[in-house]
Amino acid sequence: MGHSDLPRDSCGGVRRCGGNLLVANATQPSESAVRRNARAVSEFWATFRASRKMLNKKR
Amino acid sequence: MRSELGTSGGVSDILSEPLYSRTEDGALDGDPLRLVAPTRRFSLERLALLLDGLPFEAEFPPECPWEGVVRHRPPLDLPPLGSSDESALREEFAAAVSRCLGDAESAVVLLSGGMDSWAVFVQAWEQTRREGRRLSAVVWNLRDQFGKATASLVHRQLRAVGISCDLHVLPAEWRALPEPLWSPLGPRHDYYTRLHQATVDHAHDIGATVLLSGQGGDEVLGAWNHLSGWLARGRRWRDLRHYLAAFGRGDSMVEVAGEAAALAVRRLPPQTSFQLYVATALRDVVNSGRPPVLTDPYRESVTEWVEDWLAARFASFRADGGDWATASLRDSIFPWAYDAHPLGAPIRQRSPFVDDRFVRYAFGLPPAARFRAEGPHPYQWYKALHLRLLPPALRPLLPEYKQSYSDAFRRYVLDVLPEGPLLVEELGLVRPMDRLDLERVHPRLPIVVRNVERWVAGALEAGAEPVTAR
Repeated sequence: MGHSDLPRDSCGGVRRCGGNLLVANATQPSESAVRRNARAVSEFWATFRASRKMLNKKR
Repeated sequence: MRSELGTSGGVSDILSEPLYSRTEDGALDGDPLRLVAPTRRFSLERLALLLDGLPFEAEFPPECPWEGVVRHRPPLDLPPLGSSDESALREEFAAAVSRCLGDAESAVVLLSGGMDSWAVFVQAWEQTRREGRRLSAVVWNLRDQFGKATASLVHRQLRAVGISCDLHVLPAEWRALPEPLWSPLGPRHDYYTRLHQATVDHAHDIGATVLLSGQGGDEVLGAWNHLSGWLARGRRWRDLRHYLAAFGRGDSMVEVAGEAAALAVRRLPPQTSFQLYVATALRDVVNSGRPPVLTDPYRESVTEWVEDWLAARFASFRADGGDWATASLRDSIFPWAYDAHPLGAPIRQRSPFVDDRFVRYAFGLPPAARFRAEGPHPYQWYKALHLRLLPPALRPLLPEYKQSYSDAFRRYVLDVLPEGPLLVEELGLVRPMDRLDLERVHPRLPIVVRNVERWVAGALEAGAEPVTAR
């Protein structure tokens, strides 16, 4: 699945890059680990709820 | 008109050769214009999928824009994970390169200095030398995030492995290059369209009939999410520790928790398991939270499309037994692999990584073989299978990090859209925005808008009519 959000993964336009490969590069410098984790948890629940809503709608 | 999948140049082409199907009677053809009604009509709703929501975020290949015609994407019959023999990797890859070369007497490889394109080049070089065929390389002289120029890297690499071939260096001066011609297949979905066209022109000038690349190397052979269980079963504790630590360092605790959850999800109801999988591995693309680009009717149509896609993806997730490692690998490869190459280029384009037989083989490889924490450079740990395809002499000169060309990309992005009103805005597809607004929404959005804009202009010029949202 696509992972080409710049600047984290600026694939140079050649196309998207492999997901985990980006982990090997530096983390986003502008964001602390605490903020990054807090954001990820919040996005996790938002996506969990959104996907449930979409799947139930199509049932 | 073709009634079944065909081949061209003696190569298999299920993934790499676009084929279109008429919805009315299922007729297949490589040229969608031969399938459309006498009044040519294109759907703005389908073009909207390139610009917003999940298909934009995940870089899904474009749907066929013509009314009454869809892209024919037959599902690949994929083997279970762990069913392929990993000792046959070189042999299988060599066979894929051979199929990609087909009967071409002269070929060009697009070489970036990275592991994917080098794996292709080395194998193609051996084969073409053995068979007396001609092979040249083209390199786009971009600079990576540390200012290193691709061309000088490739020069040093070629010297290190003792290969002397024609190397054509394309300067990254896109303004001076011609745009590719309009194609009825649909909008371009690559980014440096003019550099790609210059590559095609060079290939044509030297009589090459196929353009090889390393497209899909990361997706098909790289290490993805949810390998923890496989690493643990193989008692590879050191690799497991490095694999999990990198998630915590580079991503978040959600990814680490997702690795643990993947081991227990078979006990959960399928829909709960799927929702957890989506929220863990796909949250960036399902729920990006970006400001809207499309006007309301098209935003709604994209939302409906995403709902349908998610329902279909849930069905295939269940069919795969709800295994997260299988799901992650499948999502890394599809649907992207069906259109891995720019549409409409007047030359056969192939990547051995997305050769359909090789995709099947690679899908079945033992997942833990994809990751090995050996050597000082974490980037290379995720490409353990690539390293098996490369000559040892090349290793000291391989990239030690994921090459990023963000500076060049940003300059290009801000340069790519012309000033003035956009056709897609006049047609009511996108909201009124200038190129800086678009770049703020997503750094690659101006390029995508440009690609759609150019295609729409070409279609209108060819006498086609736009069909607006229902």
